[in-house]
Amino acid sequence: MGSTKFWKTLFSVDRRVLYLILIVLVCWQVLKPIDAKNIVLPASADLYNYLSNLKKGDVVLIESDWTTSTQGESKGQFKALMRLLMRKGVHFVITSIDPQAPVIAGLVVEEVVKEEGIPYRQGVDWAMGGYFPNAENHVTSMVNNIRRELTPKGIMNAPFLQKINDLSELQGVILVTASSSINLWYERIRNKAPLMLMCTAVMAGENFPYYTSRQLEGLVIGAKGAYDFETLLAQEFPDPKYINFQAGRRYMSPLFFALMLLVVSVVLGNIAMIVLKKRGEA
Amino acid sequence: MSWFLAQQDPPGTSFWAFERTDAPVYTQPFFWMIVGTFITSIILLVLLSRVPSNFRRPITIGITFLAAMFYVIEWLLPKGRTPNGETVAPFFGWFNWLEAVPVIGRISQVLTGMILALGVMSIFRVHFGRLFKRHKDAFFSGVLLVSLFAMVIFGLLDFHRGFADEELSAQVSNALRREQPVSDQIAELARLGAESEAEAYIINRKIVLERLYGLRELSKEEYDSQIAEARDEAERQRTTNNELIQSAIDVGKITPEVAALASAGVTAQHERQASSQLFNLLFTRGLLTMDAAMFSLIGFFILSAAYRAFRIRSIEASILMATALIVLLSFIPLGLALTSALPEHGFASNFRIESISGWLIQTVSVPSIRAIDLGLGLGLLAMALRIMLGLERGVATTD
Repeated sequence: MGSTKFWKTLFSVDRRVLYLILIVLVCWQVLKPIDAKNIVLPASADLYNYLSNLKKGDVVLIESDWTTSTQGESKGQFKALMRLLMRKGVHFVITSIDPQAPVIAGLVVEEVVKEEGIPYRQGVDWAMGGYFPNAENHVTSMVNNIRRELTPKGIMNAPFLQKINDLSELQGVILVTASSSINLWYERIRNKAPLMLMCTAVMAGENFPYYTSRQLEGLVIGAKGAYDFETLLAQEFPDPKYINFQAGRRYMSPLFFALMLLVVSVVLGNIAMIVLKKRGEA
Repeated sequence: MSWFLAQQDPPGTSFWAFERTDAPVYTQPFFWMIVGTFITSIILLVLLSRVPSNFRRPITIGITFLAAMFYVIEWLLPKGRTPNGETVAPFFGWFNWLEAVPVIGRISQVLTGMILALGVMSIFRVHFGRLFKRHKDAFFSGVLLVSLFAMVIFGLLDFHRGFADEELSAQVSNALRREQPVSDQIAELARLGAESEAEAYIINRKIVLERLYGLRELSKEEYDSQIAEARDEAERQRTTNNELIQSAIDVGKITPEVAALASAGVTAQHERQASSQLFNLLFTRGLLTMDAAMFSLIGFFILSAAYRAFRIRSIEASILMATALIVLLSFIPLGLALTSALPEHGFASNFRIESISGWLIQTVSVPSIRAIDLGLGLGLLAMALRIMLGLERGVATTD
């Protein structure tokens, strides 16, 4: 079964060796990714199908609470969402309960506008509500009187917002988030508009109950969710002039290898532990 | 009670209500309001600090109770809709309780601002102290303070420019609403907007064509010729837009298209300003990039920590690990490919990774989380009641 020295080495591999393997694997997969057929999760498909059926001129609210800390997952989701809304001609208002998030969201919208080549103008086709401190109060006010909550932000002049008096007149509320801000919406939305969530992978477990109970119209989870959204975009807009695949697909292969390294290292560490235990060395 | 539940319309306005306005908010009176609020807050804090110590606890508990009750009442009051679609919650016919929500929210924002100010003061105290005492880490304190001041100064400059842009946007909207002639300023902005849209068109085509060229779906000659076509098309768009602007000037009435171009011009003008570019350099290219780099390091720590900590020492730990592995793999296409040879229907399909993962999530994970959430909710309710009533240790008391 090999020498004890070998198992001891496997039992306590230097962290720098693990770091090096991770860097090599991720770099290799970023440069030469392995593509595999994507099986779209039903939760992602539900969210996509709901938005895909919206009509030109419909309005949705997007609460963007992600920043650079989770951009690996959230940025891909947000960009895919923007692409769909812009191609469908759906208007959107972006708000946030994170001070950094509106700036980042604004930059990403500009990026998508340039990539899509659709003249989506701020204040005309979409509006930036910006940062709202005191999340509880913000959500309560949005549900009770969206007009009064957004008026001080000077965005109610936007043509698509002039006739909006209540949240129930919007076609949906979409949260792109890496925090638990969705809980405030579960508690307060009172079924006024369909609620949708794009979250990080670690948040999937806690939000699945709300999807199965249909409190969430759809749920997009992590980088896989972004890839699902991109896959569905490619199915609906197959013309090569469209950019459908970006971060979602690009991150899948490096993510797989990073996770596999994690799994393999944990399994090998455990095998080494069991062998050494049997030999009375651990 | 029936009267209470009758969803009567409340009086039109109350002292909580503020007038609906589309005018820019950040005007001179707004700053005077900030100054007034600041002075009032200081006076209040001074008064509170002078309160005898035996009265402090009841005051703190009283304010906590009232603040919490505000939201409890907001939650419990029946809501109705007025004919214009506004949601109202009449409080025994006196006033619409919901009108108070933004006001209370703003009070809370002011308090949050004061907490932030306390944090900044604390940073100054610690790091200026280190600088003056020539502490061994004084250099890092210096870097922190320089970064802090640079971000504040350039951020405020950019913020200040934002007022001017907001006023310009309001002028454009007002001109459109009142069907006014195109002023020189709006015409100039619209031309700038036309130029920026033409630039955006070229950028968009370049992105698409570069991708196709990268995929070897275009030759170099085709790429060059399509780029040249895109430039011509952008030029045509610019000319058409400029003609639209000129025709609106000639007719003496601003059109929605010209207003939209002017709005795009406001954004383009903002982006070209030095204050905006400096802020972008610090925030977007500096802070955000470093932030992302720092968080990317977590991947290395997770790998190292998982390798060292996930040692299977019991049956439960083995089950947990196997479950985690299956769910993990189900979220990656390459993981799903491991069992893709199994049929999609029939008995064998139950052993596909997505089927096992779906069963684990729906049948094991979701009910467990619901149970945890229920327990958590009851615990939070009890905790909230204790805090509201001043029974919780550490809230206004150290008993």
